[in-house]
Formats: sequence, structure tokens, C-alpha cells
Amino acid sequence: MYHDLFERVIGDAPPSTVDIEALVCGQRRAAKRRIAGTVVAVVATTGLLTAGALTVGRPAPGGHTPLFGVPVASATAPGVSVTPPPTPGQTTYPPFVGPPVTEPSPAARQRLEAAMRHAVLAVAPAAAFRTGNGASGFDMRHVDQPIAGTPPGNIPSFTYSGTTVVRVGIRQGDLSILVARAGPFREGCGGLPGATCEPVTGPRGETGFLLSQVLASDHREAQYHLWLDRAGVDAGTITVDLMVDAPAGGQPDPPLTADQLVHIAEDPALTLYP
Amino acid sequence: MLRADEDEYRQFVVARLEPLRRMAFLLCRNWHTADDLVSITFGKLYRRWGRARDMENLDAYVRAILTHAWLDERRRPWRREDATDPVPESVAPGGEPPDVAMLRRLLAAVPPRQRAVIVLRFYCDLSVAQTADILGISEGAVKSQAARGLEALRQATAQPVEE
Repeated sequence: MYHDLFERVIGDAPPSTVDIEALVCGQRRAAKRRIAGTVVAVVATTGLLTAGALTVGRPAPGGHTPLFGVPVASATAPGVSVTPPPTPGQTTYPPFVGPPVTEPSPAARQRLEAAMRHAVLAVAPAAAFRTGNGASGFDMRHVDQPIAGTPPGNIPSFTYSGTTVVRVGIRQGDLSILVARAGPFREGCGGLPGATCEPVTGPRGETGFLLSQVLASDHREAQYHLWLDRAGVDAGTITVDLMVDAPAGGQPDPPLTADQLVHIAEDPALTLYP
Repeated sequence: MLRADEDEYRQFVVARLEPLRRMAFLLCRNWHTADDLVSITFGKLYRRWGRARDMENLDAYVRAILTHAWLDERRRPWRREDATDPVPESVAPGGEPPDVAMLRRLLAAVPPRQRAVIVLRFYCDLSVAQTADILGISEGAVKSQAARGLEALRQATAQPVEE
């Protein structure tokens, strides 16, 4: 009813100074810097992360070098098979670690969505969830294709991911949980300005790290990135991401603590092999 | 971000650029700041595009980013403005219709959060619930903060309206 009146108050707008192409290029460069920093740090941190049965350094079959992470060989749990190498003429994929996932996608999505809610509520009983569509729970996606940005046929990905806005009291953040079939690469941490990275060891032999970073260039936004290899459990990996907008002039106040994120990632129900 | 996703993102922001600039201008009353706020908004949206693009009401989400970007700006001491600013000098006295002048004075006089309520409710035509959700306040707070704006709009348009 008042829209026209407001439009008259605004009047004629001068030409925009918002350069969308420059904005896209800047964001693209920032994303590459984050990935590059992670890749550089992988070499330095892999020794810490690969104690025990993990062996590092064997190049991926077919001569490809993964762009993200370090190739891992024989990172299998006892009794776990390795996907056989492709026959000539097939797309060259480094092998997955562990057996194929046989659970149908719709059933897996439903099961993992419930498991994600349960995992969060187990550590934060007052937590509330809201998806992009306003529903209470997680938005679920299933990816079964090469990772974006890598050479065709190089690094396959098999993941179920759930995203939601989690609120605990007055604090809230964007929470993402990714349950992946372990592949021929590992994530590493470090190399990001202002970030802290701590190794994580789970009760069943899981190894990984928790990265915490305040994005100073992003107007008081903070991110927490937890990566956990469940090689000793079920040949899967878990990634938990939490992004929080900090109040102006204050510190980020995430709805979940670092310990809670670790407990979520260690939840045995977050598995591709129920 | 995949190239296809980036193209989708680019199409979205190009289509929303001018409407968001105009909304930002109502909030901050300065075109330079409005463009800054829109850039901040699009930057945040880029990083969250993978999750945001499938939202049922993506426009509301983007308006929320913009509104919070502006409220954050206002909280910075060096950017804080007097809540009772006079009407800008660029407005020629008597040079604009009374209803436009009244709304301009209203927007200049109210504090930032109340201005956001007025813009979201009466310019963006959002419901009380949607406005409350974006600002993270109760519906009662939205109603009370919109009351003064509503009265001023009634006077400006000199016609009965429903709340």
C-alpha cells in the first residue's frame, strides 16, 4: 500500500558502484586462498594425523595427484576391502577406502537426518533446528560424483550432507554435517590467518582436527571446521562445520562448543554402514 | 563453487541488485553506504550460496543479511548516527510533496532498528511474523515499533489503513 510512497522518497537512484564481476572474482580468490592454505598445511600436519596404520605418500593411481589433501594408502580398518583399480578404458579414480555403500539413498538420507538431529540433541538437549524451508531438522543432500573443481575423473566423492540453522537459547549458527565415504585423500589444517587448529582423537581410534577461525575480512564471522577420519571404525569420514555471525564489537558466541562438535562427529550413528 | 552454480548466483544478484540498493538506501539514506551494504550482502550470499539457493524464500534471507549488515554498521561508534538527524540539506524545503517529506522526516527521526521495522513492514510488505523473524525480535516488539511509523503513514496518505 505504501510502496509507491517509499519509492518517491528514494527517488532516482544514481548508477550502481557495485561491481558484481569484481565481487565474484574476489570471492573466488578468497576461496582459493583458503583451499591453498589447507593444502600447504596438509604436508606439515599429516605426520601427526597418520599415526598407526595410516601410510602417507603413495600417489593416486593413474598418475593423478589429488588437489585437496594427501593421498592415503592402506587406511583400511581390519576386514575392510579396497575398491579394485579400474580396468583399462574406465574413468581413472583413485580407490575409495572401504566397501561400497549399499543402502538406498532415500533411506540413508532419512536415517542420517534423524541421526544428525539425535547427535546434536545428545550434547545440546535445548538445540532447535531450522532448515532453509523453515522445517525443523536438516536439509539433506547426497553427492555421488567427482568433487567440484578437480580434474575430471580424478577425485570421486560420496557424501551425505545435512545443513541447518541450529539455535541454542539466543545463540545460533549455520551447522553442516557431512558423512563421507573415505577416499584417497585426507584433509589437513593450518595455513589460514588467525586460525587455530588442534588435533582430535576419538575413543574408537578416530583421528582428525578442529580448526577455529574468525574471519576478520568477513565482518565478524567465525567458522569452526572439524574433520574426523573414522578409519578404525567404519572407513568413513565426518566433517562438521559451524559458521557463526559475531555480534558487533564482540567475539563469536557459537551455539555449540568445540567439545560438543567433537562429540557430534564421534556419534557412531553417523555412518554409511549401519 | 561450480561454474554452473556461479552463473546461477550471478543471475540472482544481477536481478536483485537494484531492489536491494533501494531498500539499503531507505535504511541508510546514503547511496555510497547503500552500495557498500549490498556488496557485503552479496559477498556473504556467495559463500553460502550452496545452502541458500534452495531456500523457499531466498529473497527474505537476502533481505535479512542486508538488514543485519546495516544494523552492524550502525553499531560501529565511528559510523553511529544521531537518532534525531535533521532532514538532509539536499531536500529543498517545500520542494517535495508533504507525504514524501513526512516519510523522509520519519525515517530520519527513528532509531535504526525501528527504521528497519518500518522498511521491512511497509516497503518490503513483509508480515509481522516475517519481520520479527528477520530481526530476531518478538512479534509484539515489531508491532510496537511499527506503530509510530504506521501512524505517520496514515497521516501522510490521509486514508484509513489496516494494521
